Amino acid sequence: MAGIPDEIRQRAALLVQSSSALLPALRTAAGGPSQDLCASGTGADMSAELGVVHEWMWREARHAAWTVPHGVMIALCWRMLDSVQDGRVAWVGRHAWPAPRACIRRDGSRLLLERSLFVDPGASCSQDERIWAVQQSLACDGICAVVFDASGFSMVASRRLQLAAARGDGRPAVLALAVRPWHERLTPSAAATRWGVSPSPPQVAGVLPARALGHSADERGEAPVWNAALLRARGAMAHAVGQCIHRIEATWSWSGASPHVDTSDVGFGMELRP
Amino acid sequence: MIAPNAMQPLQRRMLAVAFPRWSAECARRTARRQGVAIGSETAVLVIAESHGARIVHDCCSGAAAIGVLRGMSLVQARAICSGARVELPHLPERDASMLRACAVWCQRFSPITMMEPSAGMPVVLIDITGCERIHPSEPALEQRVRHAMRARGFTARIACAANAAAAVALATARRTPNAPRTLEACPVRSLRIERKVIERMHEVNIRRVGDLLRCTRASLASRFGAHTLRRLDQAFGRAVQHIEPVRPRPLPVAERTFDGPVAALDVLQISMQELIGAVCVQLHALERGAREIELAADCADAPRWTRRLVFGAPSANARHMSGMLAPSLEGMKAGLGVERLRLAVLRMGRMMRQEAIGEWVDTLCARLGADAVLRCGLVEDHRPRRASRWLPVLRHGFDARATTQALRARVVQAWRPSLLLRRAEAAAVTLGSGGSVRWRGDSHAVHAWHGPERIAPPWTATAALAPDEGGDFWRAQCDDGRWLWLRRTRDGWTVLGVWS
Repeated sequence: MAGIPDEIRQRAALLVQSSSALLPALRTAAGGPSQDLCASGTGADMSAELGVVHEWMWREARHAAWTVPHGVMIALCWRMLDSVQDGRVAWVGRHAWPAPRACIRRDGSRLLLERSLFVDPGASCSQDERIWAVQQSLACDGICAVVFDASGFSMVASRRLQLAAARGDGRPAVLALAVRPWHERLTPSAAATRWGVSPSPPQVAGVLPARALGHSADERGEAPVWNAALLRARGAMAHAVGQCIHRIEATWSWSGASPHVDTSDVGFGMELRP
Repeated sequence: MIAPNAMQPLQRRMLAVAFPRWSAECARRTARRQGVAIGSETAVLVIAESHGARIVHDCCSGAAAIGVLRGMSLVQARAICSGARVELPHLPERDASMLRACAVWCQRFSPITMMEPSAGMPVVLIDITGCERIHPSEPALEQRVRHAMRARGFTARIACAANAAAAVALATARRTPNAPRTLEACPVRSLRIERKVIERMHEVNIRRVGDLLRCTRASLASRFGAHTLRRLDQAFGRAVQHIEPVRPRPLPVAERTFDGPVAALDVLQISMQELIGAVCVQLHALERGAREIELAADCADAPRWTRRLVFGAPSANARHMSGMLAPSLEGMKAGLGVERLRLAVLRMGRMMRQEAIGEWVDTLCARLGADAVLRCGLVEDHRPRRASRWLPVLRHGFDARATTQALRARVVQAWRPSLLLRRAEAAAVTLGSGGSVRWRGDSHAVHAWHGPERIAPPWTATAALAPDEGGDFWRAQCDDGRWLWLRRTRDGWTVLGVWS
């Protein structure tokens, strides 16, 4: 890293802190092994990823109907609720709304659902109104996390939202998660990070026979698994085109009364460019 | 209850609600509201000072069941309550204030309610005379009131009688719902006679009201005083008992009458700000926030102009109110001018911990529409699309736990996707080993099938099935890692959801 200016080095250090903080956030969000740590007050510090906008995209080929990585969004919101004493979660834009059942933890806790408020700007509303609704949500002190539909947002809009997410000194920080369609992955944005989420192929080779419901699928590791790849971050670039900076894995668990997300780190690589 | 007859005068009926554990339950409720976690197994002791000693003023029914008594010293009570317990101070003002609030709340059963505070067992009286059409059955009404009180954490003893004194005596004496319903069987203390007089009665073995009735009136007056005789007469309807009905506190209102018609917008805005300030002062004094306000302007030559606003959360913030009202004032057609401006609070509510959320909801709803901000309420239904419903926050409030249905709703133990598609999308499926799903123009080889799960409407449902409510449901694990939720019916296969 010789020859790299101090400013770039500092930004890189912040990025490493930020992306490392997202890992335990995901891992502890849905009641995985680290949940006890969180309950005892030694959970991961989320301050690194707060106050900036993170963009999330579901990798898909089609443009017409795009999908939102709800599992990861829910996991991060759970983690945020665990780390703050009070605060609401705003889901802005119908496209960003998850199925309500997915917000319930496997221990039956409904805190996320009880604290969630869903904003519907309306099908006929203009993009300006959606941006305005997101901006209002990011600026509200009573909201600790905002998940919003950022499809079609321009660079100017994303900068406005980034400024709103930063809030001022002394005000509670907000977790800002933007969801966008995959075909906007090259659109310029002021977001701090951009993540691509894709389903992970099954581990077991070959075609399995059909199973009746109630089969212990969880023990065999047969559950949706997603790879979240950090595609872009301010101050860092991938090794090569098509290679991600940072990769995390999220797993949907069938066990218990309701699903949740466990994650694990599967790779890390980053190159700094002066 | 006898149906009213137009030829006969109405028979007076009073319903008394006695609270045997009022202080302890008020203390528990207040502590919980302040964020103190008190479990249902934790004993609650309300402590008071008496002659320099700390004694138990009241205790919860759990503590009473293991032997804690009112008037017992705290040391003794601690020895009895060896498990988890909470000691809370006795606050008579708080208890009286909550009893008044309870009496006002009971006006949903009848417009006339009264309260009779007492050291041992406060009582709320509800005059249900002439309410037969609304409450045709007294036992059903008693049950309804009992359930309502239990839901709010209060133990209540309830009785109906022809006058207030009899209703109070029956309610305070009724330890169990099957207790005797006659006044004669009630203990003499239920007549609310002084303790010293009761002790004198016990000395001559007068323990029940029936025992008093066997004595002559002259001997009762000479032995136990005129007060005892009056209480007895009141209980049997021979003397009138005057009780002051509880009236709800008036809602905050402020108005300004101008010397002449005023058409200048800036003057009107300044006046509106002053009215808002005056209303907010009244709201702060009541420790309440406005849920709904109405600004009215009497115009000189135009019809009365009104603007009504509903807030997402109770608000006593003058800046927020003026921000919401100011745009509407600009659009007012006042003709020659406004002669009088009046701001009235139509509904109030307890202030929320976070006012910012309420203001955020109001701001969004003012621009995007009243149904723009919603919350999710769970419904006990196994059909995926009916297991939840969206409730506008402006109409249903914030608190999901306040919805009884949401409280009861249990989560169906089944696997459901994180994304339910808005409408079912047709798919071409080849089931079995080596199967595939063709959906949205792409073909996915299926790695594993899980299912089927049959979902059918409940037998009580008579309406036709919604398009995607019934059928055999499968989970398909595709080779690319995608998980799809599929439904098979006679018409073919459809995709209903995705784990994303």
